[in-house]
Order: sequence, then C-alpha cells, then structure tokens
Amino acid sequence: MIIIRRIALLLLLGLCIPLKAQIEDPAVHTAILIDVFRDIEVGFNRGDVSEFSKYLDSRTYLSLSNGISGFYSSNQSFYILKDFLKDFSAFNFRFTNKAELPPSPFGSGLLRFNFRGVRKSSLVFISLKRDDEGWKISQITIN
Amino acid sequence: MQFKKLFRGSNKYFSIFGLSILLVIIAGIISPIAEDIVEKSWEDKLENETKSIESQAYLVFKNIEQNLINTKNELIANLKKDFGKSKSATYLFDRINKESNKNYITEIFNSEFMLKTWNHSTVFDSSKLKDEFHFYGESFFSDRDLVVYLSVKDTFSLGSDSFIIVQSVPIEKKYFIGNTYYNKLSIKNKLENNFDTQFKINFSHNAKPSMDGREYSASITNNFGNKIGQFTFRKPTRDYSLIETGNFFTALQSLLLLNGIVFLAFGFRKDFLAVENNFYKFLLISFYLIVFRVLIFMLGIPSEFLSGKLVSAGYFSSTFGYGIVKSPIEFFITAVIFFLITYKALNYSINSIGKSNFKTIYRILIAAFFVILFLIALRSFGASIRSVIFDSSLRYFKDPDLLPNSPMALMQLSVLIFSFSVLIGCISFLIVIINQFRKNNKLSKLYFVLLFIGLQILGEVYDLTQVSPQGTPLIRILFITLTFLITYRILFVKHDNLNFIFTAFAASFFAIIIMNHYNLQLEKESIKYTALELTWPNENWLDFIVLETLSVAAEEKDKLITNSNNKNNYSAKAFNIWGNSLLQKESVNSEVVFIDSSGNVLGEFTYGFPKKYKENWNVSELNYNGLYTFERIIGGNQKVKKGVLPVHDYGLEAKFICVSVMYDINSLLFSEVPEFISTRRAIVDSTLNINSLKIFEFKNGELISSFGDYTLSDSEIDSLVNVNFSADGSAWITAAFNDELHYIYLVNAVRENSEKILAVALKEKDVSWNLYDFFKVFFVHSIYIILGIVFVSIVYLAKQRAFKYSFRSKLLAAFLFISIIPLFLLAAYIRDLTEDKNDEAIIYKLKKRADRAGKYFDTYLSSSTINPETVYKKAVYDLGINFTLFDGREMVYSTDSEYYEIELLSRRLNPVVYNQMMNKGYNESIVKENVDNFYYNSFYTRVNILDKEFILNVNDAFNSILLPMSETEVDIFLFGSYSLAGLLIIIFSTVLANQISSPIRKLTQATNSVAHGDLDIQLEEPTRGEVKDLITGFNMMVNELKRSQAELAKAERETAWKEMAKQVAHEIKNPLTPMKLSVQQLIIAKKDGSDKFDHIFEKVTETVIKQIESLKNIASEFSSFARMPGLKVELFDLLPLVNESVNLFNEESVEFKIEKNIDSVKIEADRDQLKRSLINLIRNSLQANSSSIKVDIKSIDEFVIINISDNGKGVDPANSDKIFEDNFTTKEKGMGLGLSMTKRYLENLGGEISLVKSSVSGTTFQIKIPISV
Repeated sequence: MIIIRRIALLLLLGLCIPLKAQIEDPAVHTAILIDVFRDIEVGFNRGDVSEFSKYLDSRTYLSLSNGISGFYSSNQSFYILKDFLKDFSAFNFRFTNKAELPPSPFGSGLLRFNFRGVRKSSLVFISLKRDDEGWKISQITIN
Repeated sequence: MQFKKLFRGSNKYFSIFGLSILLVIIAGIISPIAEDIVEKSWEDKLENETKSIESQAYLVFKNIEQNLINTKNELIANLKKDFGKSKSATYLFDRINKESNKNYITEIFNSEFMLKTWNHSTVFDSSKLKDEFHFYGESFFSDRDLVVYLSVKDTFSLGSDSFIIVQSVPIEKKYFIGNTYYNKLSIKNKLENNFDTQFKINFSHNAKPSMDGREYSASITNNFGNKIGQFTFRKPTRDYSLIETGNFFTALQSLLLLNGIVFLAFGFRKDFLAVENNFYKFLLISFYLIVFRVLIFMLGIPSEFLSGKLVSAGYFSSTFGYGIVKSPIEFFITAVIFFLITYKALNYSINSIGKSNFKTIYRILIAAFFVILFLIALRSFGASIRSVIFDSSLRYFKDPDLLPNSPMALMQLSVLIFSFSVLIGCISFLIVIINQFRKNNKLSKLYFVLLFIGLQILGEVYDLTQVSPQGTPLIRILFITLTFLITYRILFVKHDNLNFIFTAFAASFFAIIIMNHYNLQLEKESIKYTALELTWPNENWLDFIVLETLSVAAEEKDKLITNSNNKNNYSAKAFNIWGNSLLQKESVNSEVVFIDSSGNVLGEFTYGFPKKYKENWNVSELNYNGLYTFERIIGGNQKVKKGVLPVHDYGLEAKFICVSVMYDINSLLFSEVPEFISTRRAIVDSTLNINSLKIFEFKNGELISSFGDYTLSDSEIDSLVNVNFSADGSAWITAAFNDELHYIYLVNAVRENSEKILAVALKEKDVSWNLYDFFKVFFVHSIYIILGIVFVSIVYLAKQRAFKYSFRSKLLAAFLFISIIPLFLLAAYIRDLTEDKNDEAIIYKLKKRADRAGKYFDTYLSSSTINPETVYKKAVYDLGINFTLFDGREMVYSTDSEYYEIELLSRRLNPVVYNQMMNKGYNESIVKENVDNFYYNSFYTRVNILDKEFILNVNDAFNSILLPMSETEVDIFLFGSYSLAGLLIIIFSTVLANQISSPIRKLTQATNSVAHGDLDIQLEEPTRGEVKDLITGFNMMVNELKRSQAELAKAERETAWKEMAKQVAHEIKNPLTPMKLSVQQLIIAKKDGSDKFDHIFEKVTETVIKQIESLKNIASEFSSFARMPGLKVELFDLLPLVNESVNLFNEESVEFKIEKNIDSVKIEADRDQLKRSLINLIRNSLQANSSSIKVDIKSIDEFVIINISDNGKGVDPANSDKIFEDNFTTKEKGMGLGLSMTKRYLENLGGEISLVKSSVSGTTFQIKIPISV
C-alpha cells in the first residue's frame, strides 16, 4: 500500500518537475502574480475572503485597524479577515501601487468601507512570498 | 378554555414551539413594515435622534463639569474648615494629597501666581496661569500637548493669605501606546460607543460649526454659559438605520427559533423516554444534539450576539465544519455538545453489555468497525489538538501571567472537555468491541488482553499508512494503554464515578502532552519563519509605513502647527504622530522629527533609532511641493527609509515633518526603549521569545551583525557559512554554543550580486519537553476538574434532595478550615515577604547607583571647569546609569530627557518627594511612581554639584535591575506548590472525614431503617474503640428490640384472644337464654297437648331463628375484628419513595443503579407498607452477598413495573415455589414473613410480586402495581 503510494508520489513529482522549471520563467511569475493580485482585489471589493483565501500562508502577518496584529495561521487569517470585512462593510478596493515581480511582490491601495453608517477609508499593504506551493500572502496591513 | 388546554401538560412545549415559529413568521412580516416606517418617517426620526444625541452628549460633559466643581468646592470648604486646627507646615500638601482627591489634579498658587503645592501631574505653571483669561469659578478646557483637561480655577483665603486653586480632570488623551500599561482615556471614544456614531471634539471656544450637511455641531458651554468647545457628530443615516432595524429583526428571529428548538425537545421528551431500544435512544439524542449545534451555529448564536475576546478569531479559529469552531466560544459549545454525545455513547455501551446476540460474522464486523473508529478517533484527537496550537495565537505554555486570561481559560476548558469526550468515546468503543466477544455470555479478560495487544499493533500499522501521523508512537501507546486500563476498571472492577475522575485526569494528561508536542513543533517552525522574515526586510513595507505615518500627520497638520510663536512642544507632537501611526503599531526603529526652514530641529521623538544613523537635515535638498519619500544608505550597508511632509504655519514659515525608519538586527530588542513605551515586536513571530534567540547575519562570508548574548568564534563562523544548503537555499543544523546544543535555521539568499546568509538559533532545551510547561497547564486543568466534581456533586445532591449539614460535612469543613486557611495565609505572607525583599533589593541597587553617580559628579566637577552637562553625558557611558537631576522642584537634566520633553513624565518634582525632602528635611526619599499603569521604584537623594544642592533621581524604569526571582516567577512557584498542597489537603481531608464519620453515618442509616420497621439490620463491628462499643450496643439494642417486639406481640396476641374469648362467650350467652326459654316453652306445650301448640311452635321457631341470626352477626363481627389492620391508602409519586428506600442503604458497600423510563408515576397505596416491602427486598439482596443492585422502573400499559435485580447468590431452585409462603425462611434468624406479607399487601392493591429470574449469578424480583389514572 505504502509502496504503491510512494511510487504514485514519485510519478507525480516527476510530472511536476517540468512545471516547476517552467515556473522559474519571470514572465510566468508575473502572470501568476497578476492573477493573485486580481483575486485579492476582487475579494476585498466584494468583501469575500474566500476569493483569495487559498493564497493565505500558514503564518500570515496581519495588522488591522481593529487592533488585530500578529502572525496567524491560514485558518485564523480567513476568519479574522472575514469578520473584519463584515464589520467594516468593505465596498471598494483598488490597488494603487503594485509590484508584480519577484522577489518581493507587493501591492498597496485604498480600502473604502462603511463603518457605523459612516464611509471611511484605510490604507492597505499586501506583500507576497514564494513557497513550495506557489505565491502566498505573507502580510496584510490595513490601517 | 381550549386555549388554556394548549399550555397544559406536555402540550405546552409544542404550543410554545408553535408560538415561537409563529412569532418568527410575524417578525419576518413586521421587519419590512418596520423598515418602511423608518424610511417614511425618516425626517422626523432623524431630527429626534439628532436632538437626543446632542442633549445626551452635552449631559456627559455637564456631569464631568459638575463633579469637578463639586470636588473643588468641597476641597476649599475642607481647607477653610480645618485651617487653624492643624499646626502642620504642610497643611495644604496633606489636604490635597488625600485619597478622595486622587482622580483630580490640584495646583495651588499664591496671589503672586507662585506655585505653593500640587498633587500629581502638571497642568498649569505660573506663566500659563497668568495667561488664563477665564473667570474664577468658571470651567474651561486646558488643551495640553498630550492630554486635554477640564479645569476650574478659584480663589480662597486661609487666614491672611490668599490662594488661587486650579482643579483639573483629564478627559482626552491625545497619545496612544499599544501596550498593556497604556490606560485609555477618551471622552470622544466614550461618546462614539454610547451613540454608535462618529464624534469630533474641538476644545476651543472659537470652534466653527461643521459645514458638512451629514454632520451636526453643538456648542459646549460651561457653568457660566460661555462656549468653551464644540462637539460634532455624524447624523444617523437612513441606510444604517434600515440595516440596524433589519438586523434587530434577524436577531429576534434567531432567538425565537432557538427557543422553539429547545421547547420542541421538551415536547418529545416523553416519546423519547418511551423508546425501549437504547440504541435508537442514543441515535435520537445524538441526532438532536448535532442538529441543535448546527442550527445555533447557522443562526449565529452566540457569535452574532456577543463581542469581545471570546468570539474573536484572533485567539483561535479553525475551518473545521465550515467554521463551527471558528472562535473560542464556538469551540467550547462544540466541545460541550461532543461531550454530551460521547457520554450517552458510554452509557449506551455499558447498558448493552451482555445484550448483543448477533451472529458471529456480524459481531466480527461490528468489532472491526469500532476498531477502525477507535483509530480514527485517536488520529482526529491529535489533529484537533494540533489545530488548537497552530490555529491559535494563544501561547498556552508561555503565558507569563499566573492566571489565564478569558480566551486562554476558555480554550483550556474546551480542550479538557474535548479530550475527556474523546477518551470516553474511545472507552465506549472498546466496551462495544469487547461485548462482541463474550465467553459463556460473560465478558472475557483473555479476549480483553488480546484486544489490547491487537489494538497496539493495529495502531502502529495505521500510523504507517498515514502521510503525517498525529502525535508520536509513545503518545499513541500510552493512549491505548490508559483507555484500556480505565475500560478494565469499568468492566471488571467497578463502574463508579471514580472512573470519570480517572478519565478526566487522563484526558488532561493527553491533551497537555499532545499540545506540548505540537507547540514544540510550532516553535521550531517559527525559527524558520523568523529567519525568512529577517533575511530580506520588506523594504516596500517600510516605504508604506513612512507613507502612512506622513498621511496621518497630513490629516492632522492644522492641529500640529497652530501658530508661529515658540510655545509649540514639537517633541510632544512628534510623539503623538508616532503613537497614532504604524510606527508605533509595528514597533519599527524609527524617528519623527520637526525641523524648521533653517534645518534646526524643533522637536523629535525616536524609538529604537540608533543615534549614529540620525540625519543632519539639509533643508536646501528638501522638496517643498508635497509629501515624498526617499532612502539613504548609511554605515556602509544600512538602508534607512525616509519621508518628508512640508507644513506651514498659516502660510508664513515652512516647517517639515520628517520620518525615518530602518531595520536593524542589532536593535531588535529595543533595549534603550523603556518598558512603559515598548510595544509589540511584530517583526519576529510572537510564538518565540525574542530574548532567547540568537541571530547572525553574514554577507559574502563575513559576519556583519548579530543579535543575542553570544559571540561567534572564527571557526563557528566558518562552519555556519559553509553548511550545505538545500536547493531552496535553506538548511537545518544543530551546533553547540557555550556547550549548549542549539537548533539553527539558515537561509542563503543571493541578491544584487551579494550573498547574504542569516542564521537564527534557539537552545535545544527551549524547544524540548519540560515538566514546568506541563504543570503550568495541568494545574489549570486540575482546578477545572475539581470544580467539575463539586458541580456534579451539588447537582446530584440537589436531585436526591440530600442536602444536609451532616457530621461528615462538618468534619470536612473543619479540616479544610484549619488547614487551608493557614496555607493561604502562609502563601500570602511569603508573597508579601518576597515582594518586600524584591523592593528592598531594587532600592538597594538604585541607592548604590545613586551613590556612584554622586561620587562621579564629585570627582569630575569639584576640581575642574568641565561643563556639568558634559560630565552628566559622560557618566551615562562610564557608569551605565540613567538619572535625572532636579533643582528645587524643576527638572534640570535627565539622561532620558525626551520623555520629559514630550511631557509623558512631569518636569515637576514628585510632590511627595518635594514634601519629604524640601519641607521635612529628609535626605532620601523612596516612592513608587507610574506612567499610566506601569509602576516603578524611584530613589531620590541630595547631591552637591559645584556647591549647589540638587536632587538626584535614579529609578528602575530607566535602569534595568536584575532580581533572583521576579514576582511572576514567585507567583507561579507559590501557585504550583500551594495548589498541590491544597489538592492533597482536600483529598486527605475528604478521606479522613469519610473514615471518621463512616460508623456514625452507618448508625444513622441503620437507625433510620429500624425506624421504618427493619429490625433485621445488623452493623459490622470494628475491632476496637468506643465506636465498637457503640455499634455492639446498637446491634444488641436492635436484637433486644426485635425479641421484645416478638414477645410483646405474643403477649398482646394472648391477651387479645382471652379478651375475645370472654367477649365471644358473653355475646353468645345473650341469644342462648331466649333460645333455651323458647325451647322449654315448646316442650311444655307438647307435653300438655296444648291446642295452641302450632301457634307456640311457630312463635318459638321464629325466636330461635332470630337468635341464630343474631349469633351469625356476632360471628361476622368477630371475624371482621380479627382481620389484618386497615391500609392507609393515599395517592403519591412512586419514584421518590424508591429513591428514599434505596438511599437507606447508601453506606452499604454495594453499587446501586436506578433506571427508569418515566419521570414520575402516581399510584394509590400505603406508603409505609410499600416502603417496608422494598426495604425487605433490598435487604434480602444484601444478605445474599450482592455487590450490585439494579432497580429498573418502567411504565407498561396501566402498570408500573419495578424489577429489583442483584448479583447475589440467588434463590435455591428447590425453594423458589415456597418463598412467598408464610413462615418459610432459609435465614437463621428469619421469621419467614417478609415476602409473604409483601405478596399479601401487593395483592390487596391489585398488584403482584413474582420471582422473574434466579441463578447463582443473581436474582430478579418483579413488582407490579396499578398506576392511578
């Protein structure tokens, strides 16, 4: 059983090698990063974290204007951001500054939200980092 | 009447459910109508709400003002009243420093505006008071750089002296520090929270009303009717009000639905209890609990109704079950529901012992299924605890506080409940498995052992098939072993409440070791994350921080530059900018500087920003056209990100706000930043204690910077830079530094043609299992377990209505009182003593430092012409001592002057110190001082510098004092040792109280039994002592009573028979006489041949028949008289009577179990007779050497059936037909009346008793009694 699974894993790994080689191309990276940032933008615009939750790293640094600050697991980050976007009724977000190139891609922009019936805005900073599974969100700062 | 019927009996629950659903629908219908009403009447509503907010917000100010004026008036009145009585030279000082005045700042000046006395912070000095234009007695805002006060000034006279008093109360702090010491104070926040809208407060009398139509401005007028400020708030919006209305109805519907679900369960309770099959019962209750949990989760209960830490995903959150454990409170509720299900599973599995009669193949399949379930449960347990560690920001083993905070306490409770549930779930699986393999219908110990070995092997095999097995093999082996041990006790020793206590402690043990296992894994992973974070600081983020800080400053720039005179405290303004920006929140090395158009620094605030990197600003290079950022390379390779915001004071003179941030490994600890201002060190993963890390940075093979208390040797540097990195440029190695093994994670990154290696090391023992961590959590769990035991005992006693102030409880209370109280007193004494000793040690060390500083000044300033300030600065470097000098009451020099400059520390001498040293002539003064909630020790002494006397202050806020044991460490030590002692005392006290009171309790129970007619009772006699005499006496007394009762009964019977015989003779004689006379008359008539013979015959026979009838009546009456005594029949609930009967045997060493499918059942019977019958049956079981007696009460059709089963030696089959006969007994001292009388009694009631089962393994008697309709 284990042997079969290990063989399957080896085969899968073999299949991944050409893919990985392909990913090393900067243009491919940029294309992926464009998608990541678009998903994040869509997620914040809709107030829907699930749009970009797959990019949350197992240790994501969050610093939010509601006092949340620290490193959180992807599970925690998902609910923290979900609660935040719900409480602050986010309705518009756009990256005003982006670097979609390795090694330190980041984006910053303005998040508009409705808090207690009052429209406000916060500066947002999001940085990405690369791990074995692709590009992950390493930090989200909303202040 | 029909309506009332709906709310009677079990109907009421369905009616309430129906009503709840109806209300949900009505709320759904009303909601849009209410929203429509809000929309249509919006203009009126808006006006009303705006006016309401205005008046209430105004009232908030007026209340503060009124309290301020009242306190000031009271203070003046008291000063005048007591003046003359006191001869003290410090009369004014003593009065204003009273506890009652501690929330107010009082400053008293003489008529020349010279400060006479004060209590704490500084609000006014002479010049500020002179500039103050308000009338005496009139309130006004004192807008200072860090705090806004509401003040009132007044005058008063004492004797011939006139004084000016200024009383102030702080209402708004402008600065913010994100640490635990910061004491938030904001009237703006208070108003925003009260009225759920945004507020702006202008503390100026010439504030202009807002021109924004969405806002409403109102003046704040003082007690003289003069405007002193203005508050502006956002008017309520229609959209928000509509959302709120909708939310209100949604919440209402959720609560109504919850109410309905709960009552629906009560409605089906009777049907549920009537279900005969225990398996279906278990399935039903589990189904209901799961549905209930899912429904309340979907309704948002309690998360949507609560706020705060317990519902915050920031503390714990898992995506398991679509978020059913997304916060500490949700996890707790899920754990409780899980516990209820597993508890029912355990009950079901125990009850089904011996009842599985499937074919062998099915039994094997069932067993295999539960073996798999057991292994899955074990793995899920590990995975869940892993989530508790990895998906939580709570550091269970690193919490510095002795008592956990609310989320930590709830998480630890939830983990304990969850682990307990897993254990009892696994135990129930084992019981089900072993129940499938019975030998001669009995559980087999051999099969049990075989199952244990088999499961250990299968556990290993199962882990081998897993990609990432949970926990460790040792944990798995221990888990299986302990669950088997507890199961063994349940099945083969005794099933009692002790099993639950063992399981609870086992659950705590497993939860903690698995938590610790994953915590160590997390900490190890964190070394890696820290290294990756530190490898290349995110420069874009630093740019963002600079930009954000300047944006904050730009929004507030009108307030920052108010006029062109020099009274602006730019350092305080820089501090406010820092505090309200990401600089403070992200705790980065930074500075905020104000410079003028000539490049002069007007004021600044620095946070961990090395002085060597400070910029000499060249104004000609600065851009006047708006906010911009740039970077500087300093010191060879250090990047500093900078930003500049030009600002103008009314367009006249340009000034600049300049922000610099940098990232420096050497400054990670911010050692030069005092504790009261230190914020989170966000750059390093909070999982790790940064103080325990060693970080080394290499560039092109050379060590360029390091952090930590270790210096690498050349060979160590070589070995670190030459490690074999993996393809992704990282490496895990272990190495010894100072003979201590370290885990080291290295990252090798090549960028911009340079190779950079970063190594993060942590001692191996810091990421190893240790007992201290284990016990820290175990004690918290122990407290929960003890509370659980107490709670269950109280519930049990309340249910049994057995609350009484017993001899045992008195003894226990006495033991605990005389042992726990001294223990607590001793702990408090030791804590106080340690605190005092610590304070003494601190003061001693501060004093030594002050002496050294004083001598240093003497040495360098007495015989030279060096500028004193130069000597002071040199002293800091030479002595490593931070100090402050006061000339009179004013601060003249401080090594930490920036905190005085920003006015976080008062430049004015502590009034207590001033009073002691200036007024009372003390040479030294020791006081506790504070910044918000940060308290520190301060030592003041006199020093002579250049023939002038100064007061030198040295404190432990700016001087680090190392103590052998901190207060927290003392607390943990005391808590640990004294909790253990307390726990042992409770256990020993309970055992002792139990033992001492045992004979008394047995005697009480026995006396109770005797009182209820059970004279067969005999107590076991101890070997010696007074108790032996007492019990021997009791047994003799019962025997004597029994003998006397028998004799008395016999004598009574004889007397009664004699009396009856006399009566019978007497009664019989009466009819015999007329019968004799009549017969004689008939004989005479016959002899005489009387012609009236026929008439006489008729008359005589009539008389004789009459008398015979009379004799018959007499016989009937005597027969009635001789019958059994009459029954005292009444209507009552049978169940309490069964409980009472069973409770009489509480002290017997037998396990009682009562099972019932009804909550109450009414019968018509004689209570005492029935109780005697039950006692008799139970007594018979005990005398048959039973160790377990089960009373099963069921309601079937029109009868209540009571089955009394025991595991005694049983009834001899040869006697089973005779046991209900009179005078039949197999006991030495028995009379053979108990069962026969019980039979007769029950038959009189229309019921019956029968022997259902009897064998060598036990007997079951069945009693059947008609239920009263």
